[in-house]
Amino acid sequence: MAAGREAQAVKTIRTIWKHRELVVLSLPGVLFLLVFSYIPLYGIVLPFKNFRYDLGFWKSPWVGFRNFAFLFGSDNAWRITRNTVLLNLAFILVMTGVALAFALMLFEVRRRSVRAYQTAMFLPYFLSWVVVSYIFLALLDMDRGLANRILEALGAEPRLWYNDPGPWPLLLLLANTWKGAGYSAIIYYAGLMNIDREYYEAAEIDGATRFQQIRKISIPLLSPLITILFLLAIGRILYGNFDLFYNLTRNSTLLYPATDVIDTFVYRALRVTGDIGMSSAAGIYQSVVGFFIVLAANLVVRRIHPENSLF
Amino acid sequence: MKRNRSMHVLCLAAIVALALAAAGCAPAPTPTSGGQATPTPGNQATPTEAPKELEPVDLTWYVIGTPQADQASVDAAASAITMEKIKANLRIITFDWGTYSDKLKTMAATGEEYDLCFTSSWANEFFSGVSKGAFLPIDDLLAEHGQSILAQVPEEYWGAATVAGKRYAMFNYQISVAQNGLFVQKALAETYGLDPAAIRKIEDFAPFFDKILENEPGITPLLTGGGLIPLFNYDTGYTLDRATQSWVLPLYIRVGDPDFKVFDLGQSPESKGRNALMRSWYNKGYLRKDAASITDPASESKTGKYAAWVAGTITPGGEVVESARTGIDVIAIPIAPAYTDTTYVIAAMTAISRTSKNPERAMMLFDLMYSDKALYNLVCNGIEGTHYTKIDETYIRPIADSGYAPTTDWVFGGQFNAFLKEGMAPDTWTVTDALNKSAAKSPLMGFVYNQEDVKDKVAQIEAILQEYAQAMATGTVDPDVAQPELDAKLKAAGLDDVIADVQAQLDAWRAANGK
Repeated sequence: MAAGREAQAVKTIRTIWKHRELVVLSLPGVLFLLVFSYIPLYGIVLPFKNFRYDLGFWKSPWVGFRNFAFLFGSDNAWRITRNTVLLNLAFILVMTGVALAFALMLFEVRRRSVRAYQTAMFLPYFLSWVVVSYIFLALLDMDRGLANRILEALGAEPRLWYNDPGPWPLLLLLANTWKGAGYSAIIYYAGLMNIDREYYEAAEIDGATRFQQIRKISIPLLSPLITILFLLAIGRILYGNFDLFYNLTRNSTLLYPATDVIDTFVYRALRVTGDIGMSSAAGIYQSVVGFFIVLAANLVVRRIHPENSLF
Repeated sequence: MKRNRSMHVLCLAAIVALALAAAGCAPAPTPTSGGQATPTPGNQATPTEAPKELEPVDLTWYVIGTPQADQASVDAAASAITMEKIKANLRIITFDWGTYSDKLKTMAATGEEYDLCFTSSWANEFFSGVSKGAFLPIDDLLAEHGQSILAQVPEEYWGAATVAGKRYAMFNYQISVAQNGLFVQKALAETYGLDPAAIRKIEDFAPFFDKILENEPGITPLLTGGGLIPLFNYDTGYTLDRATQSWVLPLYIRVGDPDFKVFDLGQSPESKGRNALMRSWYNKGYLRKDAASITDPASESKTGKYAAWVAGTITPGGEVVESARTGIDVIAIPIAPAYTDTTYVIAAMTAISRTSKNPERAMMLFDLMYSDKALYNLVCNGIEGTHYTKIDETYIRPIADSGYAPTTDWVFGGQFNAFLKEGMAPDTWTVTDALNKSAAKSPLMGFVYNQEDVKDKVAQIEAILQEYAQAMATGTVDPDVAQPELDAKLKAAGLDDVIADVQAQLDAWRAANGK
């Protein structure tokens, strides 16, 4: 047994030595991950402590699950979880669809104009949500906004956009897709570029239409990439994008029924007290649930398409 | 051989990187483990230590405000004075209004070394800082090096800075009286015959607002907004008193109630009447239809599109400050008597950091801000001739765009040592001082509520109230619908438990203090 283990160890070292250039190349990335993702893991004890500055990290007293209580008491828990999950699910699905459509269209247009399209679609990605919130204010302001001007011109009653939660799920979806679709589209476009042109040439010779080519070649060959991105996104389904939900709504309290997510709630609840234990409790709740959702989703994918699963 | 060495170098680099990262996460050294000059807090020896025997040190002081372009030259000029008197170099670092609290909390959590910081009821929150151990207790230091501070701050204030028998911050003595009221555009008040003397309560503004609606298209009669104060605090007169230090928790007692019974403000006739009034005003058009989503009333008031807006508090000389801030001539009209409570008293304080290596010198510096008018005014107003011109012994005129004009005298020490700005009454500071001393005082002065046992419930309640407050305070929602909704949510979040907890602590405090 011992001899076998030794032989195994020697073999591992040999393998590492054989690929030493690659190992060295990967070092910076591994170190980065180690320093910024693994070493800070000791912070996982914080949600279970009553953190005090003077006692420091290790000496602060343990409090069990008390720090989690504020998230789950009262009826807020249901509303923020529902909003977070449903809105994020809509974001992921619509974003995937729109980005895929853009990528396929980019792939089909003439090569020369692709750059211009890419840049135009990518641009919103670089805007901060604060800037986007002002763009939206210009559209939705009560008496100066474009939307109300148009409504008035059409003879309709102007609306108080920031007072009425009704249309906001759609508005948020629109804003999120507009801002992020260009970025995702480029990833899919890169995936499409990797597909061997011979498939398309063969299909053309056989008389396949462009639409048939998309359906039978592009999408099936992209599906591993789509699945991976989808799985990664779903792991963050419990994280509301604070910048989006806080800025775009101008933190209008009347919109909360539709726009209050876990992150904005935690901000509001702890802004005054700044309790580190309670805020890390919220963080760990989000990541643990996200972890299990990824595991479950991956299990489903492995059942259907074993080669597309993450692990 | 060559390859081997490069591997070594890489390994070494990795180890160094890890060590650096670990050092960043390590707990900060305890305050007393510093250099040789470290004084021991509470050391009673040599109270009259001569400045010459002191080792030169650097003091860092964090304040809230607008960062100033010319801070370096003011620091240099101030350091010249402090070096001579207490052998200390002074460095003042200003964080912007919006980010100050977050940055100071982060610094406290990471154990960053500094000496003094601004703390208060509304920024870098005092009681939460004390409960988390961010500040040093100062009793001994104050007795030893803080004579000028003790001489100027009224004795009864210190109870508000005391937690579990120890004082944790020095006061920046300023106006500590709240007098709720409105700022009104002077020109409009004169045109429509508004007589400030005839105003007793907020309802008395209605006829004036009617005239504005009728005759001034484009001007909205009233601007309120920005948080919770309008809902709960602004013209209760002095009949209700906040039972906790939180601006958000709606827990009050009735002044004069011998039982000090704590109740939910939402259930009081005052609050119900107020909400109904605001609803009717909203429907009449006294407030903008989108009033609930105004996030920045301070800049909104500068637009001149409002006849009146809520004053945080009305102070002597406040009209001049507000007129300068908005560029509109205003008059201040109080709608309630002046009063003071713990929250107002602790609205501006300076604490010594737990991480300070020179707490004694920090106390000496702050004492100097009280005793040395030249130093204090230098830090407040900049260098004479560069940043301001002196009109006479008491009055100054700031030089526009000079690169140094913090206009926040109250973060640097006792404000009553400050030069007056043009237009302020010559007796501004004596009047303010008298007002501080004569105002009705909260029966709860010195009572500090510790929310530790119910903090999860407090967090939920604060989140719920922030959702409803502005909508109800502006009359945007019908109180007959919203109030029951709010009540149900607060009940589910455990408001009754919090009330019981406050009551228990309050009763214990009364027993201990003979109230």
